[in-house]
This record gives sequence, structure tokens and C-alpha cells, in this order.
Amino acid sequence: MWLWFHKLSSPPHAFRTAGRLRPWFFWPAVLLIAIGTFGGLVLAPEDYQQKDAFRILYVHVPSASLSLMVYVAMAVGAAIGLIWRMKLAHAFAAACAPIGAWFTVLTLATGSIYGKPMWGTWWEWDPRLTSELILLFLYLGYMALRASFDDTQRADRASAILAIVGVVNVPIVKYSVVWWNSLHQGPSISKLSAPSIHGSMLWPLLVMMLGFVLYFAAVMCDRIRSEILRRERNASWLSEIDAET
Amino acid sequence: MQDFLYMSGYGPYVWSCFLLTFAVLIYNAWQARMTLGEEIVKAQRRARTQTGSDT
Repeated sequence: MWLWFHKLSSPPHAFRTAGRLRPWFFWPAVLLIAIGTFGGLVLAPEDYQQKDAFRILYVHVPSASLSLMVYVAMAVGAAIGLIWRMKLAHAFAAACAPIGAWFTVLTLATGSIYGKPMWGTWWEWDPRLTSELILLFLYLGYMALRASFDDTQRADRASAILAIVGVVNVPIVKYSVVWWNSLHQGPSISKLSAPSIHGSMLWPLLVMMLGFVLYFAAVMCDRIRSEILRRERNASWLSEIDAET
Repeated sequence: MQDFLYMSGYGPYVWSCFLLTFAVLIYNAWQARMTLGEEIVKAQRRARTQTGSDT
């Protein structure tokens, strides 16, 4: 187990493994997102209250889930990097940030477009919306902080602390609709009791979520490879890499 | 077909959300791919200079 862990944390091995794994994440992600889109737009029945506007949730909910999941992954990577001084974990955290930031932008934009017909406003300083906006600022702050250091090690350490401290915002986003009387609707699928959404509407959402998770993994493979190359100064294996991989 | 595009009057909202999502997903994947390509070129150039100075 430790040997495997040690092997994976070696830059050349991680670089090659990520390259090999990428197509196995990417193409299933494309397929699942296509099926989820078809299911959500065509097969799922119309909602009796929200009519066809509820179909926006097929892209809004997976984006929102991923915006939080990616942040937690980034903070865990940053913490591992900080505690065990593992460079690859810092590279993972750094690679997470732009992907998570894009998911957060998508969440805010699609939520806003959904809010206009449903609530009559594009934006409201509601706890869920405000905490999601703070999440975007945390991602942007993390990236800006990294960019402000020339030295990678110092950038790793400083940004890791920001990522770990910022994780406190994640449960606030997640439970804001339960803790406060929010304009945003409550949870439908993550309730401990049975989900309050019919199976015919639920399955495209789950397929879409899985598709988004695999998409994140695929983009992560490319981004972590870039991060590894940016940090690697040892020429011996760099000269062997193939531009096509 | 027209009903499908109309989406009970919510067409512009639904379609703009889906188009925006796909645009962002495609851009994100493409940008990560491009950055990797650039980093590979840079790393190979660096490796060549280092091996050149070693010999």
C-alpha cells in the first residue's frame, strides 16, 4: 500500500498515470452528460409547479455539487501537502482551483437565470446565493494568492492555509437552506429519508452528476500534468515525454 | 418540435442555461488541454537545454 502510494507520488509516474487515465474519464463523461441532457430535456416529465423551467436544475444542481466537492478536494489536497510536505498534493490542489471556479461561475449564472422566472429576480442577497458567491471569491483568492508568489513552495504553503480556512464556508453553503429561511428551495435528493423527487425526474439528474464528476476527473488529469511539468526541474525524464501523450 | 423549443414559455431561460453550461465545459476542457500542450513544449525545451549544458 505504502509502496503504491510512494510510487504514485513520484512526478514521472503520476504524470504518466494521469495521461493514461484521462480518456477513461473523458469519454464516459461525454456519454453520461449526453444521456443526462437527453433525459432531462426530453424524457423527464414537466414539473406541475415549475413547468419546464425546472429543467435548468439538470445543469444547475450538478454544477453546484461539483463547486462544493471540488473545494473540499482542493482543501484536502492542500492539507495533505502542508502536513506531509507532499508536492503532488499541492499540485492537485492548485489544479482543482480553476475547475472549481468555473463550476461556481456556472452555478451562479444558471441559478440567476433560474431565479428570474421563478422568484422574479436575477439576484437576491439570500444566504445560499451569498455563500456561493463567497465560494467563488475563495477560489479566485486562492488562485490570486498563488500567482503572487514567484517561489512555488511559498505559494503552496500560503495558498494551502487559505484553502483550509475557507473550507468552513462549505457547510454554510450546503446547509444555508436548512439553517435560514431562504428564498432558495430546500434539498430534494440528499435528504436522509426518501428523496422528494420522482424517479422519472431523478435519474437524469444522477446520470448528469456522475457525468460531471467524471468530467472533473478528466480535466483534472490534464491540469495536474501541467502542474507537474511546471514544477519539475529534473531533465532526465522530461526529455522522454511524448508531445502526443 | 416548436413546443419543445418553447418549453412552456421558459425556452429562453432553459436553453441559455444549457448552452452556457456546455460552452463553459468545452472551454474548460479545451483550455486545460492547451495549457498542457504548452507546458510539454516548454518542458522539452528545458530538458534539451539542460542536457545540452551537461555534455
